[in-house]
Amino acid sequence: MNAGMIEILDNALDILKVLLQGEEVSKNKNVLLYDKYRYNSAVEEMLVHIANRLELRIYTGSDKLFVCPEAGSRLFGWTNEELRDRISYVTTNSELFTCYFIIMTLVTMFYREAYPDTPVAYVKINDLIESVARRLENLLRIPELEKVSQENQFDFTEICKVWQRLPDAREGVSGGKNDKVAFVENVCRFLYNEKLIALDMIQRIIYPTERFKVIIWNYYEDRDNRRDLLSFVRELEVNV
Amino acid sequence: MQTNKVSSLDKDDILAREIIQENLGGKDPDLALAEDFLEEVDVRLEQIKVYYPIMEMLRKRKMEVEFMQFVPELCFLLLAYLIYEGKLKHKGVSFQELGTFITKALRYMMVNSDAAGRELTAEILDGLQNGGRNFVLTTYDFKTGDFREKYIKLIEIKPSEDNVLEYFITEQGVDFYLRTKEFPEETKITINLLLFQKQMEKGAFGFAYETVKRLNMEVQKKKDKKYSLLEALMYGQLDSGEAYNRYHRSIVLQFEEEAELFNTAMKNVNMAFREYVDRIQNGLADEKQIRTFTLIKIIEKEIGRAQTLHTELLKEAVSFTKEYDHALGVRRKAIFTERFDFQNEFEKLVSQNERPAALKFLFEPLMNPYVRKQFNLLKAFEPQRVAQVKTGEMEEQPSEAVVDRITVDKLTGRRVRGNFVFYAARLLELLSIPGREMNLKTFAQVLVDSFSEDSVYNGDFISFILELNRDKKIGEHVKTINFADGKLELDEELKTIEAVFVKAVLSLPGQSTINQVVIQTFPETELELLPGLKITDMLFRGESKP
Repeated sequence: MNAGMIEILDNALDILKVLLQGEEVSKNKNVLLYDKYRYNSAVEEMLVHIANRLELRIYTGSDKLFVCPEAGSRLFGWTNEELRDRISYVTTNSELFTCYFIIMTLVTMFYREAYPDTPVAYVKINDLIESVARRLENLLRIPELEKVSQENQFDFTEICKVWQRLPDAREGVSGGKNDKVAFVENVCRFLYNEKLIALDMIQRIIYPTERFKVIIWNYYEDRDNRRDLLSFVRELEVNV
Repeated sequence: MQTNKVSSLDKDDILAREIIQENLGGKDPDLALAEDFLEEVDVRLEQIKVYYPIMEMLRKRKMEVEFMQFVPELCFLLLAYLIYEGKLKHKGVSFQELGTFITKALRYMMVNSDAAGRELTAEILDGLQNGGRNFVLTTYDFKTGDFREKYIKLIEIKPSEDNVLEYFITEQGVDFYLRTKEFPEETKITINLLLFQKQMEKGAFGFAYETVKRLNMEVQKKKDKKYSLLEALMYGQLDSGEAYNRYHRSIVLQFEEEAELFNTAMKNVNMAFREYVDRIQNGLADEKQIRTFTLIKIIEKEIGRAQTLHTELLKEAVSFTKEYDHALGVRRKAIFTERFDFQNEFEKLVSQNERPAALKFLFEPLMNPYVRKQFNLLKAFEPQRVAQVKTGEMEEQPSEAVVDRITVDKLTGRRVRGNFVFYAARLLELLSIPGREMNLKTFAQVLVDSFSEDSVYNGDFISFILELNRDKKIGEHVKTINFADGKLELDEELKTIEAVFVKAVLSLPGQSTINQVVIQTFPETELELLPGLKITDMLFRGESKP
């Protein structure tokens, strides 16, 4: 390998290392690295190449670099067990899947489909709770739900049950750290720690971060990513 | 009579229409109106769209809760604050700051309003953002035959570096605020500049200041236009290409004219500035005029800022072409791909009541990568601190606090102090008789002859010379170091050059006859002590003071 190539490789690895350490690479922080990415297309290509081989994706937006794992990445993706440890007060898989349900509900409140920017500026926490409750109520009305549920170990009936069991602080029944409102707030805090949303607990609003927007627009718009992602989802359905 | 008059008017009208029709190449004038309508309707709707949010807020006025009925009117106040405290200062404004301002303003405008401030601020912000959904005005396009959505966003939120939500007024927001009492778009900068000139000429500095602030805002607004155009393009609005051309034309055409006006405005300010400077210097200015002079200085700063922004504007217009191409590229990509349908995929999973674990794959790319950390087996071979526990005879481990560890800093400090004392002692030996003088060249030569060149090349020698000259005031060329006033406490640190000399005296055999060294520098004479080592020449003199 010639010296020029080694230098490009070193630069790309330096950027990836800093990103994986959770630090920012932008025009404000780690500026030298950012400039190497921005103004040297060889470094950019190398970084994207290495990241792809490691099941990662690199995106840029608002003069900042973002890294994310591809769906189902064994190397950098989270397992259910790890996520149970990460989200406060979640101990069972049923509770964890309820968190997934809430996260997906929030994503669809911001985006019906992938777009460069979210048409919704912010979502109120109370609206999120209402939306989750409404969806689950509708789900419970499906007549053969119980029958289908018997065939699966985990399904959406479990999520409905978890939700029903949670005391409803909206009706003045507080369950301390474990009522419907607190449960949704916990999920929001997890998303906040993942730098996906900004939270204003005074106004009780959820705001999507630049990271959130950039990944939605870039990752989900890529045809290959979309194909891989959906095949994952389908495979899991078939392999029950 | 009346009938005759009407019919003559009708005749005139018919004649006029005929002439117009001739000028229109035989086209029916009514149809020409329809043609104009088709051309103009979208421009007209585009013009009025910024008023849509206020109309909605007026329509949805909440009468039942106290103070909340004032939300539509107070949105102007909040927008004004976002312009003056945010936009013009290039920063975001937090909810806290907005709340404090609205509370203060309410207290000024009406009594018994203390409790309402924060809730009211939240309500105004919510109203201005349509509950987070922004405002969408649906209009019909006769050319394409379908309905189109126009987005209106007067304010926006961005998280700060510390992840605190901050509010900003958008370009549309500024546009709305100004349109409610201002001039047409293209002429705003020119009008403001002309106005400014008149005000400066007439000495109406108070008004001139207001104008220059407004001018600054206009230039800023034009600058922001770029981003909203890019946004419009990303959203795929059909007319954005035309809007881009319009923007480019307006920048390039108006730029020269405006630049000239800016130069004239600067000249005006400079003239006023000089006039007042003369007046003040000649002692002719009274207190009021001195205050006015302060205002002129602020105006000068503001107009300078506006001019800088204006220059940046042209630079940005040039770089805009590149960004425009990029946005077009993104859009081209979007045309050929199908958007990822979050809602549909979610609904599909839910309605089929399959495994909810699949949901994870839908949002997983949004998460941060999980960097696993594992135990490195080699760590087992690293030296470990072994805890020794012996029953009956516990050995006391020396605590870290009492261990005297020598750091590199300490070592360096000791070396420098030692060398300083060495140089001071040699200097004192050479100046041993009061009144004896010696220049730096001789001092260095003696050192080289006695202790080799290294003693002068040593960095500590230069540091010593600099230290001898430290704390001199600008323009002073003489420094006296007195080391025998009897007040010196000699500690190991040798914190002052006087302490260094005291220590040097003590290191010399016998009693020193001098207790003061005078250093005189000659800044205009530079001497080369050794090849490559240049320094200002100086003279040392030993003195004995009672």
